[in-house]
Amino acid sequence: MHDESKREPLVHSVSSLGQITEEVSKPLNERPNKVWYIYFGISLALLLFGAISLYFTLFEGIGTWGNNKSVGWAFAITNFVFWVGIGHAGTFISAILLLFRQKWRNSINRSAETMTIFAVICAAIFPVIHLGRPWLAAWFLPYPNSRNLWVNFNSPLLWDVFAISTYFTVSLVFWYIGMVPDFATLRDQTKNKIKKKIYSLISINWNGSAQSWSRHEIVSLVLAGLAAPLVLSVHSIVSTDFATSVIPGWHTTIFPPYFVAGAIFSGFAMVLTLMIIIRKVFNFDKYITLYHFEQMTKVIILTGSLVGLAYSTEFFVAWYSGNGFELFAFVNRATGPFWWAYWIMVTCNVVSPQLFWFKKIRTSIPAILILSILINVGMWFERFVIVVTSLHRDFLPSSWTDFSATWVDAGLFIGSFGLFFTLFLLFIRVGPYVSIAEVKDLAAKKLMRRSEDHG
Amino acid sequence: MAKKVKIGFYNDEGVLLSALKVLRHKDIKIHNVFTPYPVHGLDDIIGLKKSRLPIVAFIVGALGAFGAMGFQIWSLALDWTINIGGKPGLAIPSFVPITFEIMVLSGSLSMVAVFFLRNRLFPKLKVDNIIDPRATNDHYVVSIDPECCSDFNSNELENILKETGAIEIQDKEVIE
Amino acid sequence: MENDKKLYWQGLEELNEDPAFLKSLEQEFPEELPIMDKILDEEVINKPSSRRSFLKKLGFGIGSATLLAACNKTPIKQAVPYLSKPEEITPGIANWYASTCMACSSSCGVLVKTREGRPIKIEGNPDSNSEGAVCAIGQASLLSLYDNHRIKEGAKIVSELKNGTGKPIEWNKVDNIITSELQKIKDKNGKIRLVSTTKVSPTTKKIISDFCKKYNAEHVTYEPISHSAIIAANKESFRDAKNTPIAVLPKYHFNEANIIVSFSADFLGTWLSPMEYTRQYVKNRKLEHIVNDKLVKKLVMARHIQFESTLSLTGSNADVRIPVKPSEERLALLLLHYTIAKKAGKSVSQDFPTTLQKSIQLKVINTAKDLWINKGHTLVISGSNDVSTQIIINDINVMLDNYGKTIDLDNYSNQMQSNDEEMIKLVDDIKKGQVEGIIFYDANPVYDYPNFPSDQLKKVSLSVSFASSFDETASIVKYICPDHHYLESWDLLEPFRGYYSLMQPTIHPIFKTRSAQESLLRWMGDSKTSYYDYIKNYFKENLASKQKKSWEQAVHDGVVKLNSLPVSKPAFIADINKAKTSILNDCKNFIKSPIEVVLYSSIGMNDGRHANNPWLLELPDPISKVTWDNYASISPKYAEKGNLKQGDIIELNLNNKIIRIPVLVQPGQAYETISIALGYGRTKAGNAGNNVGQNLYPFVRVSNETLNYDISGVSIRKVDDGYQFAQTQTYHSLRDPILKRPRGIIKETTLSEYRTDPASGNKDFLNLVTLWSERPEKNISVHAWGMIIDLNACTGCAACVISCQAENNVAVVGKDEVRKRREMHWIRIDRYYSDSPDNPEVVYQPMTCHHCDNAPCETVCPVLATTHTIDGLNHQAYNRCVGTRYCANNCPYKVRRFNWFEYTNNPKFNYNMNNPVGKLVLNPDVVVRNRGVMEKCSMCIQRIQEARLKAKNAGVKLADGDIKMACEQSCPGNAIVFGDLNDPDSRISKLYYKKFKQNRQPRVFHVLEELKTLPSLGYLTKVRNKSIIEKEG
Repeated sequence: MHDESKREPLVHSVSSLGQITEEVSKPLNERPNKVWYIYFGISLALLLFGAISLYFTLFEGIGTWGNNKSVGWAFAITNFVFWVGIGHAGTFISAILLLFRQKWRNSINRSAETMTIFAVICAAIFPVIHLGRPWLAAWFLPYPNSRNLWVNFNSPLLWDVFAISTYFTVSLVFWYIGMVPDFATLRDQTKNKIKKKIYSLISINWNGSAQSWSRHEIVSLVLAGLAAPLVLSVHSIVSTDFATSVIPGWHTTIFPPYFVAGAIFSGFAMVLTLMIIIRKVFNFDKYITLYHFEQMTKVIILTGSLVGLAYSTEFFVAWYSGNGFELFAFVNRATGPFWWAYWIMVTCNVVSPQLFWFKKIRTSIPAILILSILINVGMWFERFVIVVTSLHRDFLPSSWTDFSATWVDAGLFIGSFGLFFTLFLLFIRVGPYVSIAEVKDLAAKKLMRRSEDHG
Repeated sequence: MAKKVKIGFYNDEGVLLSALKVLRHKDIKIHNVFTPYPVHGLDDIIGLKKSRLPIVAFIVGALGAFGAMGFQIWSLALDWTINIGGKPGLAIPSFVPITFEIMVLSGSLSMVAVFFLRNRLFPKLKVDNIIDPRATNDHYVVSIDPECCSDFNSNELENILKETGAIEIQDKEVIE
Repeated sequence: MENDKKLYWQGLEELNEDPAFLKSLEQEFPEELPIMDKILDEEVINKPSSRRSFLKKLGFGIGSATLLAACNKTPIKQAVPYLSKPEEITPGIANWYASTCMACSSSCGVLVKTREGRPIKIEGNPDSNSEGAVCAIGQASLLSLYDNHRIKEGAKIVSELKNGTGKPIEWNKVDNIITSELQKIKDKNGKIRLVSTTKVSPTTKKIISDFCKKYNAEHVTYEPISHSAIIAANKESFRDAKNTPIAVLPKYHFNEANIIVSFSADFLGTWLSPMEYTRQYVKNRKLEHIVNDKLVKKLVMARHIQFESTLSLTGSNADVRIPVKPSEERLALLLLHYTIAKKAGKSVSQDFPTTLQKSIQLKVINTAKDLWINKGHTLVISGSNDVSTQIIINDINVMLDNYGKTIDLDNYSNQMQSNDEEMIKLVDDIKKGQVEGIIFYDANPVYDYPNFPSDQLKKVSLSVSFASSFDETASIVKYICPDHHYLESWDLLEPFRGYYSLMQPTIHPIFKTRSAQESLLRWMGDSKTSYYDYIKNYFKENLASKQKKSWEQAVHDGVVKLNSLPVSKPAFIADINKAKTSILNDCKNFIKSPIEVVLYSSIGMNDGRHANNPWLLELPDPISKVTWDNYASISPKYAEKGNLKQGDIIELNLNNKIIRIPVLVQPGQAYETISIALGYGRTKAGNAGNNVGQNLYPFVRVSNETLNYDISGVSIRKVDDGYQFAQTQTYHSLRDPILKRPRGIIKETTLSEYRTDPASGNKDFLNLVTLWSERPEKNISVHAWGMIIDLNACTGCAACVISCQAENNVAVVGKDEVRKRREMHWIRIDRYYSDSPDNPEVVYQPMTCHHCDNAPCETVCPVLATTHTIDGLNHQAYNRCVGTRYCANNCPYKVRRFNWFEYTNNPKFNYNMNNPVGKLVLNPDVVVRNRGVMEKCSMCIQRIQEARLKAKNAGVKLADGDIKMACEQSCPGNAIVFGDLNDPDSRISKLYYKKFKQNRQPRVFHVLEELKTLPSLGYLTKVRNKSIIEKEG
C-alpha cells in the first residue's frame, strides 16, 4: 500500500461528502452549458455523415468502398481494430488498476469504463457492415439449424465474435455494478418525480447496507480478476485474425503481445483526450487532476516503447528469417506506395510518446492533449498499415493492386467518431460520469483526518 | 414483515467506526449499518462473514469452459467432421480461445446474477428498503434492534448512541 | 398428342425429315397464330383449370421459356409443352449440335451446347480443321446471338428513320421494292455492287454469282484487315501445269516446320486461321505428349523466330524475338532473302542499304543459318499486306524448298479472300457517284474502310444492308434486311479445298430475321426455295458422289472431307528485282519518318465486328492486360526519349487526320514505333461497344493497290495526361520493384539445359523440408481431381478465359470496376516479363483456383462456406457465404472473386445480364451469384457431376477424359490436362508422377510450394528453344 499523504491530494478541497453528490449530480439536474451543445452538435453532424455512408453501404453494396480483389479488407477492419484497441483502456484502468489497488483511478475509472463500452459498440458495428451480406450476420452463431451445419471454430473471425461479445458483456456488467450505488444516491437526492422513478428502476433497490457493500466489493474484485485476462485475451484474439493467416506481414508470431500493448497505448491516449475535454466542459479539476494525467502518460511511455520494440522486432525477424516475401512485405511498408502511412505511424507511435519522459511535457495539459491525439492518429495508421499494405502486394505480382478509399469509407470512419462522442456526451448528461461512491471513499479519508486534528 | 429498529446517524467515518466499537463492547447487537460508500473494516466490527460469491463464479466458469470445449469438439470432430483446409477435425488449440471466453462470460454473469439475488436487488418503481435518503449521500446510519439487547431500554440506547457521537436518533420500521 | 410439331428443334427435324417441318420451311414464316390458343383454349378460358391443363400450362411455361423470355414477336406456330416433349429433348440434359463458327472466316468446326432450346456454349469440333480449338472471339460470338441490340422487327426502311430505328416493313413488301429497284438499275445498265466479307461457303458464293449474273452486278470481297497481298503475290509468283496463275491463299503446315520465321505475322493470334495454326504449332513445341495412353517425351522442339514491331501474342511465344521498325523489318527481310539466296548458290548482289543495326544483322544471319540447315522443314511468313514483300517471302520459301511440305497451294485455303484492288476501285466509283445499287453483306466499310465516302453512299439510289444491327453502314443505307446470326442459320462452308464444314441452326430465329442467302434468292425471283433446300441440293449434286457420308451423317458430324489433292511444286516466275525496288521505295518514306506507326488487330476485338460483345470488351489483352480500350503502345526507351509516360494522351496527326489516344508503355515494342489496335472506336455498335477506344481505320494506308497497316509520316504531340487504363495486371515482373529479388513463381529453362537435365530450372523444391509429419496418403479409392498446365503449350490466347466465362456465368463488370481491380474472371492468365524491357522474354501462367489440399481459405471462413470435398476440391457454397472476404485475403494465389455489387438486373451494369435477351446465354447448371458472396473456379463441378451421373447411369467406371474442364477443352494448345491423380493410368498421373505417388516428373512444379498449401493445380516448366548463338549474342 502507498502512503497517500506523500502524494498530491487526489480530491482537492472537498469539504463534505454531500458536496461531492451535489457537484456530480449538478449537471444532471440543470440544462447543459453552451460548450456541451457545441460538442453535441458536431458529434451529431458526424454521426449523420456516417448514417448516410451506411445507407449506401447497405443498399448498394460493399462496392461503394475502395476495396478490390486483392485488398479485401481495408477501412472497416482498420476501424474495427482501432476501436477495440480504444476500448481496452477502460477495463484496464478499472480492472487491472483495481487489482493493483491504485486508488488514484477512483475518480477517472467511471469515464474510462464508459468510454470502453461506447468504443466497443463502435468497434462491433464494423465487422457486421463489412460483410457482403450483413443481414446474414447471425450465421456466425452456432445455433441449431436445418442444415445441421455448425460454424468453423478454427476461424479467428469466429473467435473475434466470442471475444468481442464477451468483452462487451463483462465490461457492461462491471460498469453497471459500479454505477448501482451511484444511481441509488441520485435516486435519494433527486426531487424530480420521473427521475426518481427511473433511478429507482435502475438502482435496483440498493440501500447501501454493510452486507451489500461487502458483497459488492467482492463481486467487483472477482469481476476485475476475470476482466484482467479478458482484456489481454481480446486483442490477442483480434491479432490472430492476421497472425494465423499466410500473408506476409500478417503471418507474425509477435502479434498478440504487440497488439495488446498497442491497444492499451491507444486506449490511454483516448482516455487522456476525453478527460481533458470533460475537465474543460464541466471544470472538474477537482476530481480529474494533473496527477491522473501524469500517471497515464507513464503507462503510455511504457506501452509506447513496447509498440516501438514490436515494430523493430518485426523488421528484424523479416530480415533474419531469410524469407524473401516477408522481407519485401516490410520493406514495401516503409518504402512502397504507402510509405507515408508507415512513417506517420512511426512518428506518432514511437517518437511522440517518448516526449513524455520530460516532466514539463508530462504536466502540460495542451502538450498532453496534442500528443494523445497524435498517438490516436498513429494507432489508426498502424492498423491501416498492417491491413492494407500487407494485402496490396502479397505473393503474386500479377495480383498486386493499389488501394484508394472512397467517401463512403471516410464517412463510416468519421461516423463512428460521431457515434462515440454522441453516446458519450449523452451519458455525461444522464449518468454519474464520476464514481460518486469511490470518490467519497477517497474524500472521507481526508475529511476524517481533518476531524481527528480537531478533536 | 416489518421490524422496529432504532437508528443513529453519524457524519464521519472515524466517529462511526469508534462508535461501532463501543456498541460492540457494550454487546449491543448491531442490526445493520448503511453507508454511502464501502467503509473498510466495517465487516469485522459488525462480524460479517466473507461472501461465498467467488465460489459460484468458479464453479459456473468451470462448467462453461467444459461446455464450450465439449461443444466445439462434438460439433467439429464428432457430429460432422468436415475437411477444413486439411486440418484435423479435433483441433484442440484452435478451440482454446472460445473456451476461455465462454468461461469468463459464464463465470462473471452467474456471479453477478447470484449477487443480485442474495441482495434482493431487483428493479422496482418504488423502493421500500431505504433506511434514510441521507444514508446514500453523506451520513452513516447504524440501526439497532431493541429486542435483541433487552438489558437496555430504548432511552438508554439513545443515550449510548448519543455518547458515541450520533448526531441524530430515530425509531424506524424496516422490512426484513 | 395432336400438336407434336417441334419448331425449336429445326436442326433435328431435318435429320428426321419431318414432313410437316419441311412444309413449314417452304413459306418462310407460316401464318401466325397467337401463342397460347392451342394449349390453353377452351380448357382454360371456359372450364375451371384442371390438373391437366395446369400441367400443360406449366410445361408450356418451361418449354417456351426461352422464346417468351426473348419477348419478341417471333411467330410461334405452336408452343409445345414439354409434357409432350420432343423425344430428343430432356429438360436438364444438354443437346449438342455440330456446326461451324462464323465469327471470322477461319470457319472452325464447333459443337454447340443447347439447353431447352438455347445455345449456351460453343466448343470445338475435334474432327474439324482446327481440331476442336475455338478462339476467344469464336466462343464469345455466342453472346452476340443474344445481343439485345440486334434488329428485332425484321426488315426496315432505314431512310425513314423514326427515333433511329427505321420503319419496319413486311418482308414481301421490301422484296418487291428491292427487286423492282434492281431491275430498274439493270435496265439502264447501272452499276450494282455486292460488298461482302470473305464468303467461305460455295453455296453462298454460287447464289451471289447467280445474283450478279441476273443483274450484271459485281461481287467485291473485302476484309477490313486484309491479307489480299498473299493471294496477289501468289498470282504473280506461281504458274501451275496449265500455266494458269495460282491466285490462292495457301494452306500452311506449321507442325511440319522445325524453324518458323515470321515477319510480324501474328499467326497464333489473329493471322488468317490462328486456332488451326496454334494446334499445329504446339504439336512441335510440346515436350510431353500422351500417345495412346503412353507418355512420350521429346527432346526436340521447333524454333520460332519473330521479327516484329508490336509485341504480338505470337512474338511473345517466340524463342527469338527481334523488335524491328517496319522499315528495318523490310531490310531484315531483304537481308534474309539475300543470305539465303547466297546459300542457295544464286548470284545476287547486296543491292540494298545495310543501315540495319549489327545486332539485328547478326540475328538475321543466324536465322538464315538455322533455316538453311533445316531446308525443307521450315516456314517463313509475313503479316505484311504488301505484294512485293509477299513475293520475296515466296522466293525465300521456294529457295528453302518449303512448297509441298509446309506450304500447300493445291489444297488451298478459302479463308480471308479479300481483294483490295477491287474494293479500292469500288470506293472510287462510289466517290464518282457511278454506283447506283449497292448491297452490304457482313461488310461495314463506313466504319472500317479508310475514309469511306459515306456522303456519296447516301446518294446511291439503292443501298441495302444485311447487317443484324444498325451498324455504321447499315444506319445510312436505305433498306436493312437483317440476316440470321450464324447459330440460327444453315450453311455449307469450304474453308479449304476438299474440306467442307456444315452449319446448322441451334435455335429458332429469335428475331424476325431472314438469312441473307434467302433474301438474295427472293430478289432473284425465287419465291420459295429455302436456303436449306439449296445447300441440300448442292450437297446431293456436288458432294454426295465424291464421299461416303450421307447428308444426315454430314449434318451430324458437321464435317465432310474429300481426299486432298497430291501437292505439286509450282514454278516460280515472279520478278524479284521489281519487288525489291518497290520495297526499297516504300522503305524510303519510312526511313524519313521520325516515328513509324503499326496498326494491328487485337486478340479480343480483331477487326471490330464483334465490338458490342461485353465478354470480349472485358477480355484482358494477353500482352498488355488492358480491357475496354485500345491505346498507343510505345517502347520504354521511346517513352524516356519523348518524355511520355503511361496514361499520357497523345495526338496523332497523319496529314490532318487527327486522333487522340492514351499512351501505354509496352516493353518489347520496337524503338520509335507506335502500335495501335484496330477494331475499336465503334460509334454504332451498341450500348457496350459504342465509343470504346479510338477508331484507327482512317489511318490505314492505301498504296500499291492494297490496304497497308504500317504508316509513316505521322506526327505526334502530347495533349493531356493522367488517363487510367482498366488493366487487370499492373506489375509485370517476377522481381519485386524494391529489393529486385526474383520470385520463383514460374520455372523456366532452355532446351539445351533441359536436354542435359530435365529438372533444370525446377530444382528449388525438389527436397522441400517440412516441420510437420507428413499425413498418410489420402484414400486412393476416391478421386483426387487435379490439373496440370504445360507452360510450353500455353500461348496465352485467352480462349480459356471466355470459355470459363460462358460456362460459369461469370459477370461482366465494366470499365470502371476493372479500373478498381474488381474483374470477375475465374481463370486469368498472368503474364510476366523478364530480361530487358526493350526486348523482354514473356511467359504466360494461367491462374485459377489451385484447390489446395491445405487450403488457407477454408480455415479462415467462419461459417464453413468453403470446405474441402473428399475428392480434393475446394468448394464454395454461395448460399452459405456471408462475404467476410477473409478467404480471398488469405488466398496466396488471389484467385477468389467477390461480388461487390449485384451484377444482374442492375442498370448500373447494363450488359447482357441486365436484359431478358442477354440472360438467355446463362448456363442453367451454374448459379448466378448475387451481391456479397465470394466466388471462384469450382473445377467446373457441374461437368464433373454430369460425367459422374452419366457413368453411373451407364453403370460403368468413370474413365479418364470423360470430364473436361471448360478451360481445358477450349485450349488450342492442349496445355491444360484435368484428371484423377489417384488413377495411375490417367493422363494427369502420367504427366505428374514419374513413379506413381512416389516422385514426380522433373518438369512438374507448384506455385508457392514452400507454403505447403498442397495445390491440386500443377505446372510444367517453360522451355525456350534458344540456340547457343543466341545466348552469346
